[in-house]
Amino acid sequence: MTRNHSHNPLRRLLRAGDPAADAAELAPGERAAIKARMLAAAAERPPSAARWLAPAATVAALLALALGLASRHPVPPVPTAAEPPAAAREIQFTTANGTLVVWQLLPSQSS
Amino acid sequence: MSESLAVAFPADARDTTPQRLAALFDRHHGRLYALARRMSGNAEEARDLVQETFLRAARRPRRLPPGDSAQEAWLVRVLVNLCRDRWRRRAVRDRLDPVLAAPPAPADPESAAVARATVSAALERLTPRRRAIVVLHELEGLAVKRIARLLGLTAATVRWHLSVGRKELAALLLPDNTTEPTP
Repeated sequence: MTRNHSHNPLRRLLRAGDPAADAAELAPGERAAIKARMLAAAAERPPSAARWLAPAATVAALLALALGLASRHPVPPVPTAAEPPAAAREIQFTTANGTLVVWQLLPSQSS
Repeated sequence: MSESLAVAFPADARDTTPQRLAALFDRHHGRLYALARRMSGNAEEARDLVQETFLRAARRPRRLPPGDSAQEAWLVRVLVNLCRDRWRRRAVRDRLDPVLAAPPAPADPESAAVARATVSAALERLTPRRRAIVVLHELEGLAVKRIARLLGLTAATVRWHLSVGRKELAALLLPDNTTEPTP
């Protein structure tokens, strides 16, 4: 990965003046402080459930309010077209001895 | 960059538990600080940059990709973006106050401290992305492909920034401008 182009004067100069040459690492105290701040920042974040809870509660409250208002002003029932009465079928016949028999076939019982 | 960084992250990277964040910090702080130190040329600013990078990870852990190398790339990009924000603010300030923008003049070229100050001042003249590419290649010795992966760029873009950055640095640092193109 690293190639040494010591013949390259620019690279040689850059490496001679590498800003990280004298202090390429954080001091242990600084390291601990940054780590502690990072963990504190992570702890400050509300848990994911809590982040969803507030908006969900707001939506639920608004829905309840809307439903409450709607129930105070009931919507008049929309008139629906009356279903046409189903016609009953009738079968008439006369027996051999002259009795007239009339059968009424009602739609609800015919199936 | 240490090859040990390529070891797989031990658990789900999106897990936000403090132990996992602590492991993320332990794994990458050294590498990030060295980069920040080279990007800023100032220990205090480098410390701030590293802290802000890890704070971003802590505040938005779901943005952290899974996998150790992807996390390293994410952290490096955040750090470079933070450098870029600071660089823009400083550019505005320097336009308003040109006295502050003047780079320090080296008094004794043999002095290591002066050499560091000179290199820092020259690197500061580059745009943050270009500076990051030059630092990663020339000082950290990373290959172009690896830098491209880290910064989310194409290899061609990295090579172009490297070439322009070298020319800019050579104009600032080499009196006779004797730099030669290297891959």
